[in-house]
Amino acid sequence: MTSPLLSISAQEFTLGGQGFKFPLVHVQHNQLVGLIGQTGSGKSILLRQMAGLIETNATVNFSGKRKAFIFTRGGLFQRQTIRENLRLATLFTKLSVSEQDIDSVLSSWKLDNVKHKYPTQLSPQALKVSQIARAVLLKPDILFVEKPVRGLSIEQIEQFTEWVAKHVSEHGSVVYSEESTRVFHSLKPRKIMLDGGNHNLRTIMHNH
Amino acid sequence: MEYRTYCITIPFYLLYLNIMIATLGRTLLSFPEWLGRLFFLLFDMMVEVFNLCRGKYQWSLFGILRKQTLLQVWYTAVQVIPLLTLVAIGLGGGLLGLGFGLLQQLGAEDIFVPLIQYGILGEALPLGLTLIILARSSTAITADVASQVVNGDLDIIKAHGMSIPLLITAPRIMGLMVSFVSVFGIFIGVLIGSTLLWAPIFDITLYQLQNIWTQSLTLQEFEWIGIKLIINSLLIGSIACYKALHIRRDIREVPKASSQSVILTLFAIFLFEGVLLFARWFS
Repeated sequence: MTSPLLSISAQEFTLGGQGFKFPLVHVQHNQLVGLIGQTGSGKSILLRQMAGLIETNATVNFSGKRKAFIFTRGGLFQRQTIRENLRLATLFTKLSVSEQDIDSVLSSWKLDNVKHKYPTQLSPQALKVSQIARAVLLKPDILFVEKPVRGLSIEQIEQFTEWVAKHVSEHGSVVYSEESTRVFHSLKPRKIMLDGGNHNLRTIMHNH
Repeated sequence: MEYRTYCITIPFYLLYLNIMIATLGRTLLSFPEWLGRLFFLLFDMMVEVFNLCRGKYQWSLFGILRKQTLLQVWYTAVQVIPLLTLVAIGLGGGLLGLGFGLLQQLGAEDIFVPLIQYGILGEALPLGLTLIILARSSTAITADVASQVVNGDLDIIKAHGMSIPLLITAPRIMGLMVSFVSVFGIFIGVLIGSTLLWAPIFDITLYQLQNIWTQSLTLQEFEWIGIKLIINSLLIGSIACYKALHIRRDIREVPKASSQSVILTLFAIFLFEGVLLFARWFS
């Protein structure tokens, strides 16, 4: 058995007066994983812990090189244009990304008209698509997505689903958090159900 | 009656004294901790700049670093030039008219050069410039970085494997260092130029003026001023960045962090001034 791309050890902690209890979670290479649960079940916390955004007493092991994150809100530097945002993210990698590559990705996601605009000038939908474009450009070993289809049009959802399927089969893994089990249903993700019950310590259970 | 009053007030005095000692002790104990924090912030920055130089990241990042550094220089140094020019011209007039003129009348013009060399150039000028730049830039840098933290920019940086020292700390601290040195150079230039203009008004010959400046501006003095300016710029930049990077993600924390960073920097600057003064004059 190959070593997992990412693993986070079991943990039990309190955040904002609410207790959480998470077991050991593994993400294998080229795997689509969904953290499914109701509001307050801890899926975003777990996702952010896996991405290293929230400090935790759990041990996070990531054996890949590149990672990317698509946030529900924000997610782009407000002082830079969309194009500059995409460019900056690539500068911290060894990827050889030309200016034409950036324009090509922006064009394929229909962001030509907004590429020289600042995030504050854009709609939440355009912001989300811009973040997707950045992820497309980075070709990450692991991509974390918060509520992947929220705010996208039907066309964009289809395009994103197609890209996720291709990315998972060719490049890396995708971990997303969502309330509904229907998102990416056609791609048969491995779902990790988060218990949103009334327990003081919320637990998550694996559903293979 | 008197005995009862003492019985009530003395415990309160003792309690107050205890709190004072505890506060002072906490401050003193936190000092090495703060030094360590600032050292690690600067160390991380240097490591990342070294990584950039050895090719860990793409070379185009230098362009972004340069742009951000120049932006910091623009806000810190360039925008303050009109104010500093006015201060330098006024100081030039004051030094020649009040300083040299009065000392000449008293027959004590010999002490004017050491006064300029050690008092004005060595001590007052670096401290004055530091306070002007501190007032302008410390709050601005803290508020700027803190707003980035509140906006979630740090999450974007961490989530995409970017470097916080390269994108946040390095341009600001390097910009401050460049600003300090350039502002000092401009100030000295304007000060000397202004004394040329003031000299005829106060009946000071060009020969006397030349003597004053050539004797005052020694290489040793410039080295001393350089050390002070670099330490002060590092203190202002690192404390501002550290305070801002460690706030809670709440917009109400931004003004609090700004004022805290100014107070802390003022304390640190005066402390280091004292240490350096002691090192220079009593070693």
